[in-house]
Amino acid sequence: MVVSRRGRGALLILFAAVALVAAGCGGDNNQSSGSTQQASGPTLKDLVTSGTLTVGTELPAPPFWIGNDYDSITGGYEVDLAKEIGKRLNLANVKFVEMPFAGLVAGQKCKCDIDFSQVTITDERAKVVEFTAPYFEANQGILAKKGTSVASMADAKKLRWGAQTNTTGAAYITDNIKPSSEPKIYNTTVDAFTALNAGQLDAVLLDTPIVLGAVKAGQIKDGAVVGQFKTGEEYGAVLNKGSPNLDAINQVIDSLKSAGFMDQLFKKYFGADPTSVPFIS
Amino acid sequence: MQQFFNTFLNWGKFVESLPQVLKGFATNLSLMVAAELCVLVGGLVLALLRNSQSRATAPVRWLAIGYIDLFRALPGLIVIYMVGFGMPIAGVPWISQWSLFELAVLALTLVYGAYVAEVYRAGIESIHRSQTAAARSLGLSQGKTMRFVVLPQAIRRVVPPLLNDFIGLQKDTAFIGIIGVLDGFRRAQIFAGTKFNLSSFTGLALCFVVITIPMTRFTDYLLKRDQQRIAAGTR
Repeated sequence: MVVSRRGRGALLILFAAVALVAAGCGGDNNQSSGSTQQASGPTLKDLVTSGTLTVGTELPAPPFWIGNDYDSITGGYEVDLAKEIGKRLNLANVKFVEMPFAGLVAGQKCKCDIDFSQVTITDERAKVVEFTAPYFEANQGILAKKGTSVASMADAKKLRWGAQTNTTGAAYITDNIKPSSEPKIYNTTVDAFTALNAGQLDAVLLDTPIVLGAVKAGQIKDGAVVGQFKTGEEYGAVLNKGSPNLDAINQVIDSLKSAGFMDQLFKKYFGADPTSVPFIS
Repeated sequence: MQQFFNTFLNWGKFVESLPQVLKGFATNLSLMVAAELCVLVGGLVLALLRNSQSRATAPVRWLAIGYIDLFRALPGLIVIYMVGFGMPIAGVPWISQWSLFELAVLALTLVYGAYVAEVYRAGIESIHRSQTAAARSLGLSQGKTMRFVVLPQAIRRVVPPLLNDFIGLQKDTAFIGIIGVLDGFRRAQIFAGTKFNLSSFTGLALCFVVITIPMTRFTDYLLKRDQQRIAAGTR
């Protein structure tokens, strides 16, 4: 059957109308039967691929993301969280795609429905992206070789610092630590770790859970998290500016939080408690 | 459209970012000058080794050929990364103590030395054999023939392609950012990441253009002058 463009539009409208009616009936059914699982929960609109929650991130980021490629992710804090969110939103599949962190926080559109990249919620960033409700709390951890002693800000000033570009850590170094030698700034966390391994840095400043994860994963030879600065950041997932899905996702995150899901994930992936790292003032 | 202009051509953001961008671009510029000097010398040495004729120097010649083949094939980005991070990790004596800037000069010299060696060689081979024969029959040694007869003509002939390679080198200095040095690209990126505006990159792009265009025009001028000279000679 040949359908003209206009004809196709009319068909679409017809389908939409049928779908609406069907949805209405579904709701009624649920209320009456009550036994089926929460099928009438929030749903997402404008998905990149319908029926699939497309999740952006930048690898590697253990233990938030465990795996070396976007199609071979085996687990991780944010992975489990994303999958659970997908499940609660009745999306059968979850797909992971690359979204460079530097582009993300510069307001570049992500070809994903939601991005988890351990992004600290800031007012500046909130101008260009939508942040979900926070799902994680972090401070800035000092990653250094074992035996490096950082007891005070005066000690910290003497170190050769490195950080990832456009991170809270990089800003903290220039705004608060103000070290005597110019900090080095890298594209990815791995580059900063490589430089630390190469002896070109004394310390890297990144969110405490990230550096704890890096040490646990053995990414730094003789590495240790020797201290942390209290900054009290909260991580939020990132949606493209103007996304219609913010409320739906926030509902899910809030309910997961109150159900203790985040605490379970924390125990599973960090083992160590980030608050055990000494604070420097 | 307005969003496009606001993203790339926001005058306020452009001016605000310019001091940082210029400070970073100064790093690129000094890297370029340092690397160019090393490349000019290193490339010539390589070309001479590559072009050595006697049977005794054959192993050196093969080494030079292998080196040029290898490094002309490698992307500058990879070499900077491998030299900048690799030398200190491998604990290579002396070199591992170098600053990141010096390591970047080394990396760019390795890559562009190979390019420039081939440019020199093309120049040397373009000098007619009769010139060498004449010089040798006048009693000049092989080395002196090269130094006083062949090279002066050859180098003059390859100045335009050399300048062309230097424009490439100058653009590749933007790779130094990956090993952590706060160059023009990184400073522009930091600005863009905190202010969500890419006008800082426009400033940086302009810096490169402003340096490159006079070089291009200069190359054109040299080419034209050369052509005129050759035309005058054949008359």
